[in-house]
Amino acid sequence: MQDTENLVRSAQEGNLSAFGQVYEAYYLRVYRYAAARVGQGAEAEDITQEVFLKALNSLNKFKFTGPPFAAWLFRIAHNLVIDRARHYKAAAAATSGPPAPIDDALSVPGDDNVEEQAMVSLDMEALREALDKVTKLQRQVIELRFLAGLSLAETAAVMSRNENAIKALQHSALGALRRLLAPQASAEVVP
Amino acid sequence: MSTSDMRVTEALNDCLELIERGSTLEECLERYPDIPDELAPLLSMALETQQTAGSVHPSPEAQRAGLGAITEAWAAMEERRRRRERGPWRLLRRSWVLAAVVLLVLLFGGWTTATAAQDSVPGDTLYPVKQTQERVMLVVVFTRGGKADLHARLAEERTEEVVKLAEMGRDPVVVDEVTQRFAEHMNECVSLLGGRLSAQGKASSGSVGLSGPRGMAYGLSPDMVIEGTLSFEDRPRRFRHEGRFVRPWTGSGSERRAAMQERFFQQFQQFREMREGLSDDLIALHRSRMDEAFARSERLLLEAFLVMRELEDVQNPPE
Repeated sequence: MQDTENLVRSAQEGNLSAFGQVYEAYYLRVYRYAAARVGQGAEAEDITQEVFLKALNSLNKFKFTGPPFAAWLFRIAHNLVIDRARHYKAAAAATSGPPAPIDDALSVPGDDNVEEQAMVSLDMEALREALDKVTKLQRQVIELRFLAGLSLAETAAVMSRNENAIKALQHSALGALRRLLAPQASAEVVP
Repeated sequence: MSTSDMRVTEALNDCLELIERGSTLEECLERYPDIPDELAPLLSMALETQQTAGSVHPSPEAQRAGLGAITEAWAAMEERRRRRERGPWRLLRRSWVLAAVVLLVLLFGGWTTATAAQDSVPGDTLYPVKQTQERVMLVVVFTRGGKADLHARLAEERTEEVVKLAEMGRDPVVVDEVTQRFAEHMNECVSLLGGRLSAQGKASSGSVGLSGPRGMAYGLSPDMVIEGTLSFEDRPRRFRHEGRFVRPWTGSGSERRAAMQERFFQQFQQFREMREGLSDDLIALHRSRMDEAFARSERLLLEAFLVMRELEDVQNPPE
């Protein structure tokens, strides 16, 4: 597969197949980023599709002199998940009953190993609950670095910060997560 | 952050990169024998998070459907493009034809549209009209001074657009683009007046240079006093500016440079106020990007301001 820069350039020149390859290369990472905010399943899949449609519509505005393509794409993703999460919260507040989970039964992919899927779902849920409790910046750095798999430089570009700031943030974010997810273990380490 | 915290921060990032390249957790910890107890839990947390993410998969149907939606959207875009090319508006794709049409509109009664377009911002329907008006103006102004004035006015216009876009809560990507165009106008303006900006973070060369790691060093006090250091022919000079100049301006171009300094300074103040007025409601990313855009513009204006002053001192050395 060609590198991203060549593919994006080719897509800007009108090559649909090149954009298709960009889609294949980034789909999973964008999906995981969205799933960290809204849970696995249809909602995250919708957001992922919308991210790529928006990217397609704005593709000619992407400039190679600016932030890297991954950073540009994840800025779109970030704006969309924030927007969706806000709507979801508003809708949940408006209903009198208990809020319906976004990641419903549809969230389980078509895999035969149901037990494994249930365990994964539980882990992801625990992670999402912990992410709800850390600061916004800590959450974003965890999502970009460890869920979407962005490099330090790409994360810095998405968050408009320098790389040293991102290093410090990832340190504090992992510490915060550790304290939330393994409080007993971390109590021995963190005074 | 303490020194030991900073060491853990650096070691953590180093280990994450090593693991990404295939090292094991144990190999990483061996590299930092003095801080294994601090590093190990953080690295484990990072790896567990990555493992959890690695187990999350979308349905293959959704991925295929998404590709289908993209193909449809692509086809629709192509169709729209073809229709534009076939229609009578295709002539307007030539910039000189578009410029001529806008000129005619301006001359023969299109004032309503033209005036309405003045208030438009990127993303508005009338914004292309405004852009074309600006291109026409740049074509019809012939002198270097006139063009510099015009670029300064257009930079000011971009400042106002940034304010409006920020107030409207538009996509920060658009704000970035307008900030970039603001920088281009500033570069053009200063260059037409004989100076050069180190806008790319690189020290400028030639007759006017700015000292310091990013081409200049400056300090700001809360009461808007600007202090800067400029180097000219390797001789550093310090400057202090308190809003207005009292030294009389003489000689060719002085008046214009004085006017430019005032203009740049006012815009600088405007960006500072915008930064200070950023709403607390803005989400963190939005806020940090706006902040960054404003800070970049501030730096640029300050440099432009100081370059104007240096040019003036070169032509009319202070006694």
